[in-house]
Amino acid sequence: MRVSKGYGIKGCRAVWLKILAVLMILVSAGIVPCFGQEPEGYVNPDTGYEVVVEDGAELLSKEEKEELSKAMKEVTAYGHAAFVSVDVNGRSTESFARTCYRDLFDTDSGTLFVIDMDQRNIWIHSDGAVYEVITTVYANTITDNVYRYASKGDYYGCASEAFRQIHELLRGRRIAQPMKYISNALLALILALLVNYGLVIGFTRLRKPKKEEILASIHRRFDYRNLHAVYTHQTKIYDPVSGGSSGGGSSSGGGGGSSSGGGGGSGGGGGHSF
Amino acid sequence: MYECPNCGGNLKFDILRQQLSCDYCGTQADPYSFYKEKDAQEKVSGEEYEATVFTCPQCGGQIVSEDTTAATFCSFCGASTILDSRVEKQRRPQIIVPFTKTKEDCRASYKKMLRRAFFAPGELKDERFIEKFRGIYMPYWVYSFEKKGPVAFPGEKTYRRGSYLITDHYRISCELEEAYKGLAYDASASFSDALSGAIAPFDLRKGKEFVPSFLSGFYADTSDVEKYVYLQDAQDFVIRDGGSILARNPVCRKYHAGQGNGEYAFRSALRPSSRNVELAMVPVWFLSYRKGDRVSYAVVNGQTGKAAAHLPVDMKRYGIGSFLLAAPLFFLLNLFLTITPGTLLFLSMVLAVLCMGISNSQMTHILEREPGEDRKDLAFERHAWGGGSFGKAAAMVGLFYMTALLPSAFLHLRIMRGVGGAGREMALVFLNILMFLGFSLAVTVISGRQGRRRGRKPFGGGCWKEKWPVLKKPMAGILAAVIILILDPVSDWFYYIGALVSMAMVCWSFLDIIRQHNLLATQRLPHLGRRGGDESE
Repeated sequence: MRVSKGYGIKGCRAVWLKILAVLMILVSAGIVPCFGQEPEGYVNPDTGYEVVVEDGAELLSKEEKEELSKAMKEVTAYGHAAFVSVDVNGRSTESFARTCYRDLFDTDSGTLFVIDMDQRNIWIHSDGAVYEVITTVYANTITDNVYRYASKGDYYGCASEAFRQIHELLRGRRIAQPMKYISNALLALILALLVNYGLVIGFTRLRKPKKEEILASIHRRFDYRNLHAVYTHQTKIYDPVSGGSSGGGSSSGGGGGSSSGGGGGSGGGGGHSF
Repeated sequence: MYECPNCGGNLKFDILRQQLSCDYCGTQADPYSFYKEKDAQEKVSGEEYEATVFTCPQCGGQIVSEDTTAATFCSFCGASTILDSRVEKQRRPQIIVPFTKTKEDCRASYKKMLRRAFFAPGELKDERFIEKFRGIYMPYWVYSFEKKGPVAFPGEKTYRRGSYLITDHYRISCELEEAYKGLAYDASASFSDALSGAIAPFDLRKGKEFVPSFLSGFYADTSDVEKYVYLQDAQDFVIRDGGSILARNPVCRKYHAGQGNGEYAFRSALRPSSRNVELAMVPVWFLSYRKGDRVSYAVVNGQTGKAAAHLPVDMKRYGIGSFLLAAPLFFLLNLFLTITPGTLLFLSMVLAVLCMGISNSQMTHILEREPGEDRKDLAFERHAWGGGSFGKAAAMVGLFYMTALLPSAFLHLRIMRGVGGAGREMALVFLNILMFLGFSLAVTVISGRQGRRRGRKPFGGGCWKEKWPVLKKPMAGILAAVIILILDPVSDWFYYIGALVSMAMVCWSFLDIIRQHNLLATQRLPHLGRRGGDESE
């Protein structure tokens, strides 16, 4: 009895562990939705858009989650807002974010901020009307601006600053992009040097006169009469036509394009490692 | 000097009137009818005429004039100096094409050309400088060719019958009458072929019989290129032109005359049977711009007004122009471009590679053009490193693996995140190729100039040892970018600093590129290598 109980307890634990492992694998592979439990949420009564905070990697305290939810509520005027952190992820962060978003909101307007502790990446994925503002370029810019918080372990700061910048953009305001201007200034200078060099070469190249110009400046007479061809002889070369398969086939090119991120869909985003 | 029969003043050739004209009393005289005892005597001798030859003590350039008064500056090197003069017999040209474009026309053509030269030095546009244009008759060899009579060349038509390719051979014949007169090539070593080609052609049909009085008021260069030098070029031109006319005939087209094996026979059939070479003097307005020990030339065709010049670039103007252009480009980039640090670094690397390519191409031209001191070490034998083709091949394979394949693995796994989507793989391949080329170049540098020694055209123009001081700058930029891309640090600052370093190297390289352009647009003094040239100058 003791033995069998003990065996039974051990057996139960093993089964549960196996189920958990399988679930984790399935979740990480994107076969089942990334949420095993009902996420804590807020629904904007005016727009119907909701706030989702799913801190799977347990990066935020309860207070921080509440604070973050408050910050994310602002975004629901334009679309859904979700924060997801994950500890184990077998795919790229981009693919994970895309799948998560699809599972949460399908193709509704909204934005998702992912902290992937496995890949040490942060990612913003947007779709619908929000994606028209929070484009891939802006997603990259925002993650560039906030990745330092994550590097320091301030995940709340990272997420709240990201949503603050997302909200600023959605409100039609601008966000700081100092490096964009510095980079573009440098690129513009080098392009200008290059273009001007092209002008130098293009305008100072010495060109030789065309044949027609030369002919127009000389005395030329070229006449011929009685041009005729007389058959002289014939030669033969043995050149059997190959009976092989060469020359006949044409291969058909393949197929349509593949949708990125496992399952296609609209939207997109950008991210940064930390 | 031709004295005016009325006042004893100097008679000079007047371009507008096409007559000799006295500046003081306005007397005009026909260059042919104007009596000059000297001319008459020379006419008897036929081959030569007497003239004053001025020699520049600095560059050795020689210039001929009918004016015995001392010239005060050299047209070839721009030196303001009293030229040595002596009376000498010169080869008498048969033809002269008189100036028809005045100095004012010349200045207008030159200014029009300079409108597009945004970065040319300010001095080149200065009126006082433009005033220094000097009318010089340049010697040209004029080739004429004729052929009259029957010609025959082969033609053929090939078709298949069963397992055989059957070729029917034909003999195409016709009565040919061809005459090409007036193909002109410059006969002066001091006049660069590039410049003479750029202001060509001269219409020799408007040429006149040479009499020295046409030179009055102008200068003339001496002919120091043998007439046989361009004979083959001129003949090839005639054969090509005749061949293209004949090839348009339906019979020739049908039997593929001049193609394949029959090409040589076709060309031979069209080869002119008689040729004639004459020396002609053609009018060129000539201006030299000297800076330090370099000189560049601007020339204007004295018959057609066509202008050409080797124009150096003023570094200051180029810099200002680039800054001015950078402003609207910056505005445009901000509208359309937001790039990640990784992409920025990658772009800066591509720009550095581009710079390296431009620089290498220019250096190759410079080293080809400027023999002598610049290439003292031509005799330099290949370094012993690498020891033979096997060692070199092994080193190349090893380096390729280390520099391209290993980083690929890194890159596949980690970096290039800035280069998004489908472009990532392309960028990766591109990066590998660049790195391979870069390190192949390094191997070639280390292993010396094997190609040159063997008389083959070496990879990238060779002469890597000479090019290294210039190429190392963009190379350093590429290296910085590659290292950062491979290390893939988290912080963006590494990318930005790497891009900054790479771009700074690109900017520095552009200064070199402009310097190289200026070297190509100018030539070293002394350039003529004639007697009297002062090598120490």
